Amino acid sequence: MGTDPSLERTGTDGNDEHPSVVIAEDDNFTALLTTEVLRRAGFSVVRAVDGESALEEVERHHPRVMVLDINMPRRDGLEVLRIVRRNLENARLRILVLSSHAQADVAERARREGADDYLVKPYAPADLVARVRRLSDADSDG
Amino acid sequence: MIFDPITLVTVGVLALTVLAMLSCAVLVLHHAASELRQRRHDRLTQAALALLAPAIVMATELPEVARTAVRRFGRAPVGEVLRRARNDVGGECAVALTEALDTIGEIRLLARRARSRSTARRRTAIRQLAECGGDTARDTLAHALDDRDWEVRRAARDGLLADGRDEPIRLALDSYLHEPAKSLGWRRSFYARFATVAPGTLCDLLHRHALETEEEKLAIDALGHARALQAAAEVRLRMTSIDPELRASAARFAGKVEDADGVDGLTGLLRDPEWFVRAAAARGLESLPRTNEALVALGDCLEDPTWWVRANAARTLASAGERGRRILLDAIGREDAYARDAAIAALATARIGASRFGSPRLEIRPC
Repeated sequence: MGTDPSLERTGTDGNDEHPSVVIAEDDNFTALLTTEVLRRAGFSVVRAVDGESALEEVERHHPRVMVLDINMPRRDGLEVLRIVRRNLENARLRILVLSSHAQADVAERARREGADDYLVKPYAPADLVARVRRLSDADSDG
Repeated sequence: MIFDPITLVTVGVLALTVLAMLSCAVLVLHHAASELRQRRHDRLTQAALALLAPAIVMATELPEVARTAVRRFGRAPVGEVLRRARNDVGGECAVALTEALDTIGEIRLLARRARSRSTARRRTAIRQLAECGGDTARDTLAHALDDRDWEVRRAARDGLLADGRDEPIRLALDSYLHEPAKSLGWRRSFYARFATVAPGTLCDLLHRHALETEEEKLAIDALGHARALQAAAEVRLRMTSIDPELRASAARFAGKVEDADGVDGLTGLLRDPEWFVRAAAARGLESLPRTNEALVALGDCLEDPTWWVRANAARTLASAGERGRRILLDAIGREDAYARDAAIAALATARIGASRFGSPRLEIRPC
């Protein structure tokens, strides 16, 4: 089984003062795997365990990308999206919603609320990295 | 020795009290032990995940790392980590996870448990096997389709659908169609999984008219939910079905998948004799480009005797740009109170929506 070059560790280890990605996910299991995938690809990552702390992390770190779960305690993902998009300071923040098959209909609502991309689990790690990288680079290009 | 009745009753009450207290103590101890076991299992699972995560996402040397993890944390926590990871990561990683599950003997163990005499044990084993993937798991799941317990059969079907390959999907479908008793929620759940995993196969079943009308309806709803645009041409044919529920499902589908070729069909359905078909058509048009004919028909729907039709038509017109809003504004001046109320409600909502999403604000000036 070959190693996907896009997953090779290339940079920071996630303890940066200014993380490039905030993962808002209440499930430890999914959060750890997603964090591992992104750290391997060189992103620095901070995790929020619920909607409220996701908003705090965004305000504190001003990340470039947020990977957002929908079902979370203390404000769900859609509510977080609404609040984030209402604040002009977050205009450059790109949001990727990561969700399960059962919530395919949520994709449309998430897009309407201002999500930039939507990825359904199970995802290929290389796909997640490519999407986060594209979102992360979106403003640099423009 | 003779005891008087009061002594006998006292002794009896005391004995029962002691028995009750002992039972409580046993129950509390049992709960405490279970709690401790669960906590230990959770701790070990977290530790195993930390060790396995890099190998899982890199899909390299996973079987070797899994063997090491089993030596350190035990088979059960490692098995759980590997199975749950298959819900999160797919592609090459899923193949590596199945290989690792096979290496640590998890799949063989679950296959053995799937033949247990205990129904609860079989249910758990089949649900867990459904998360493993691979040929051994597939064969066991296929065998479990003949299980005497309906929950085991259901879990086996879900597992075969999740496999995603043609043959397992065919087996799951055959079993589903031959299932004697099915609740509506259960059937919906089956088609939802089916449409997500293999929309093409489900579309083919529609094409061959292999499903009964009631099943077709559920299949179309599920395909719409899964945004399976490839089924659009086939579903469009159902807009002229003699079954009104099928026509309504086709209308809902066209709206959900944004089937631009379905606009004419939906426009025709706005004049359907059944109110729920008209309501579905009016709602379906909300996400599609509206022709002049559609706008006129939607305007007529504002005077429909059913509230749902009026409300959906007004909502669609409110999202149809300047032309739609003009029809609504005209309706405000109509004598028909129903049309007037629907138009006012839709325009009020459109105003809020317009300011929230940044589209041009709707200006309504008092006459």
